Amino acid sequence: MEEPDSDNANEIVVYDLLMEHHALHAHWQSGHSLMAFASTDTLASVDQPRDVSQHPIYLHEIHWNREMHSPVARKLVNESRLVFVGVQQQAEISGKPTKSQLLKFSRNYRSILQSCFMELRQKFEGSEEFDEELEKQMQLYSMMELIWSLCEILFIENSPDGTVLIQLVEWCKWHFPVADDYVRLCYNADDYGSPAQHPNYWPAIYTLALQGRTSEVREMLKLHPAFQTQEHDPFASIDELLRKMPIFSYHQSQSTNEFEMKWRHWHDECIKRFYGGDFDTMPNLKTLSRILCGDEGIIQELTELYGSWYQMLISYLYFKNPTISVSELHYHTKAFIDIFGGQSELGPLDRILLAAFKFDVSQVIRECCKHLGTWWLPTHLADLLHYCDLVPLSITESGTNVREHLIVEYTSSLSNFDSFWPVVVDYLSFCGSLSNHYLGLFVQRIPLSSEKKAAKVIRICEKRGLLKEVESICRQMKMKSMQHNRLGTALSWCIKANDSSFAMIIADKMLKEYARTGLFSNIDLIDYLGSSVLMSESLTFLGKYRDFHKLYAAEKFKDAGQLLLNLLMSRKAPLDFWPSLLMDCLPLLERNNLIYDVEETTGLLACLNVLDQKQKIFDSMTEIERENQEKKMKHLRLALTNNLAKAIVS
Amino acid sequence: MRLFQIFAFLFSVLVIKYKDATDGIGFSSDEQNAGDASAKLVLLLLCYLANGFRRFSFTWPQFRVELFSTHFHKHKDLIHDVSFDFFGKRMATCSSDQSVKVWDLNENEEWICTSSWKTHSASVWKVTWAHPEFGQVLATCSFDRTVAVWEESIVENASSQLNHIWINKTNLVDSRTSVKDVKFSPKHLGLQLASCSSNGVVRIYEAPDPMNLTHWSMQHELLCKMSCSCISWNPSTYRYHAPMLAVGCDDPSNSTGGKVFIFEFSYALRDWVKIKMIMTITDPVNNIAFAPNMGKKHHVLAIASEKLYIYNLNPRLNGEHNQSSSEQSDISLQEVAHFADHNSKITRLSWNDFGTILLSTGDDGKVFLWMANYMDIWKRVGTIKNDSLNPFELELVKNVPSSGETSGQKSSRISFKRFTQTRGPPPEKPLEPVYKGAYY
Repeated sequence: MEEPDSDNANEIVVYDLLMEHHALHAHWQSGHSLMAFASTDTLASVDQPRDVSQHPIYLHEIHWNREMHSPVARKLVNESRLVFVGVQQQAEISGKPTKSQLLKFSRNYRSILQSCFMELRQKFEGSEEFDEELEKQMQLYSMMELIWSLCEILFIENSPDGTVLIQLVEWCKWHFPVADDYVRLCYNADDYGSPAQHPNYWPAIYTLALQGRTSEVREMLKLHPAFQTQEHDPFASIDELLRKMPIFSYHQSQSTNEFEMKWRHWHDECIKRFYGGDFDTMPNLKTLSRILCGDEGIIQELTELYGSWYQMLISYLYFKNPTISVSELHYHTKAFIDIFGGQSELGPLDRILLAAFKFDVSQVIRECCKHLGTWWLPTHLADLLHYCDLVPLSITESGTNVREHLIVEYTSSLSNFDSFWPVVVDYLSFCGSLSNHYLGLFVQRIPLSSEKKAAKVIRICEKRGLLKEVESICRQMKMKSMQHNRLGTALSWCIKANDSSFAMIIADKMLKEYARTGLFSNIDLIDYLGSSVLMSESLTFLGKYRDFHKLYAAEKFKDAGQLLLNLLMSRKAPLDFWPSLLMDCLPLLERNNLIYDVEETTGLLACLNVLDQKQKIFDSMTEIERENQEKKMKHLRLALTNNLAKAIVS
Repeated sequence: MRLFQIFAFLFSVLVIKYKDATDGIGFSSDEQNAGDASAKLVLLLLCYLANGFRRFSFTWPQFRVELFSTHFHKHKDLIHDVSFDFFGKRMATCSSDQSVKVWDLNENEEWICTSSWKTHSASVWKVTWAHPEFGQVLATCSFDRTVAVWEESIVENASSQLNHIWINKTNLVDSRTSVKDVKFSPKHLGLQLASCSSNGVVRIYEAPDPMNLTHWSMQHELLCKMSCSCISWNPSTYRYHAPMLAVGCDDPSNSTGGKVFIFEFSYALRDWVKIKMIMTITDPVNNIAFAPNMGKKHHVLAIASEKLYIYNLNPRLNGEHNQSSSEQSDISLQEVAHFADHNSKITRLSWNDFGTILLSTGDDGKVFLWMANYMDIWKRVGTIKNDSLNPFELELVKNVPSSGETSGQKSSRISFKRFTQTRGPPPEKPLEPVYKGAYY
């Protein structure tokens, strides 16, 4: 089939006065959106003053495929995701889902579509004003359901002997309730006395017959005043034909041949009675009998009443060749398309259905991609058909297969919306050999709006083995907390990312804060550092220093004193923290029982002397602070000498 | 004689099939030379034999411009570049008016300009975001021969509102000519910055301490001997792929040879090595872009010149298990497609997040979208055109509030005629059956 001007199919026009003189430039945003602007690349002429002030400078934001934004579409996306995951899991467990399982999944999809349609309809009927957008949505959903159910009949549900007409007739009955409309009109009209008087009485009967609903036709006929049950009456004759029409069903343990024999017998009887003049007195009944005979001419006459080529095709075949198999259907399509004006008259929906009747799966998917404006249907259909072995496989090394290709497109149409990210992750996880490639690309673009979300994303990455991404996420979160000056959170992300150099920076910052204010802002975190204190020296120091506080609080002064001394002597503490450390000795020195012996006290004194020489750290202090500091030092020196004296004496 | 007839028949069938297939997948046969065509024919034949090849090409769904909003932009001169952060939630624009603006997407999906400042003393060519794991960092390059690095800090002002302030961390002033392009390296290489200037020097800087962006050291200087216009890092994170850079030159003369250079970092030499020059492209190159890659073994490179070229780069990994021994990994180039649809030079390229769709802009004022089908055959899937306003639309735009709301909605989706032709609204399905037996 020729494609109609595919070059012009997708065009957006941007209106901007600037573009008279400058080219249009564009840049991807994310998912399906672009930012376009007028610009120039003629670098030579730049920096010469240009007169652009007469036109405003615009940025144009362009989006497409945003159907998935509406609340109903959200429901569709979220619910179909569960079915999709179900299909994949089934495939993982048992290799390949069986026909009946696939049929079940297909029906699940269809019921989701149906319920979405119902919801839309309720909204549509509930709203006061005529809502064009809603109507369009309703059309889309009913169309998707129509296409899906046809594909289900033809591709998935086909019975062992390949007969499909019964299902197709049902499909017509369910989707095109023309006959019911007529019948309802007949019953509801009081103006005409009885239904039989109604102008739609015969159309109702014809359409019911075309849909193969023989028992209902009989019911209707009984309402006619001329209906009589005597022999040789045209009504009785047609009633008999209708009653005796054999209906094929695979489940009734009936062989095809047996049925064909019965049916041929019945068909011959119809033709015999028609030519025998049984219905000549009643032109309406004659028309009805022509339908039963499978007369091509009558089908043409009734198109006005009934509908489009596919309905006619199905009705015709129902009365002409009821045991036709799927593969033979397409021989008959052309004739009916010609009746309706030939190929050129076909609309997009016709093309999709025609491709389905021709059993051309690729064409169906292609046409759906092109015309439906949503990737939902092609993606899910291709996935199911992939398990039926109906989708062609990839042949190039670099190419992905159709199914994966569609999944990626579907997810990228969803990825504009933050709340869909778990859905996207689910779909990409089942994307064959390249799923980690796509997952990696997607995961790094999930906006990490909260700690909780980050944790969730990390869990998924860990499950999929994307360890680099985990690290990257931790770093991002760490930078974010640093920017907002939340040291504790930053430290915990640091530990997760195992980033020792950064942990040092944070630990130093925390110590500085303590030296200044005398308080730790994240005591609980430091208490629970555990083995991660070994990550960096500063962190170790921080942990030990906290231990000192705990010992002191528990009144284990001896131990506390030793720990403090170790911290000082090991030179692990940053220099500007020394004054605080030494000051912590003071209460220990002033206790009655001796804590430091001679050697230890001399060590402390040495530290104090080192500090005295390093004037640098006092430079940053204000005048008052410095005086304070000097006072403290003096005090400390006195206490240390006292302690030394005490130690020597004892 | 009979044998000959059979052969002739077979051949004609093949030719027809070939034509059929090529038409369907977007190659017009006149673009191919004869040798190429016969090679393709063999390939297609193989396809037929192996898989029962079917014509299969994807068509992009109809565009549906749902939101077509125009923002009144406060730049006083032409915008040169737009850059989005990794999440598409922030946008930086740079302009001839020497300033850079940063826009944030608020809860109502509107772009709000949160900061704007003068960056350089001349036109700003490019603006680019660093990966968020290094904080909120921007780099700009300008006609004034400098590259500047900016970091955001959030300050609370007197009325306890958060102010976004962009602090100039450093100015890299090594270039003696206009700096045309600047790009941050992929995140796994740390915080590196590559810039290229119009006298043909590519410089690679590194910030050893990501906490201290004031200190950048120039690591390498690569000479291209031709005016460089664009640069692209290979984003592949695959373990055995060495860091790679592609540089495009816009030297106007055709006689200077290939215009695209590919450099690779050699761990053995601790330096960048020129591993490839694409000889077939002799027209000036305006833009170059590697497709995002997270696990594919081959790279995809798009080049904007007089035509749009798409190349596959296949690194031959000889020393997969011994990284240090692979002195200089050999690379094979393969042209996948070239297009001259723009009928003029192509100026910009941009990939989508998944690296599946390529966007190209040309001097003809059109933007094209390109997409490969599952068989790696590229095809045009969409177009964005410009049009000067006609009086009616002028009114429409004038009425737009300056905050930037939806100005006009435009839907170009087809309507399904068959459904609406006679019956109006879509088929009604009675909720309660009128009588029994009519429905399931």
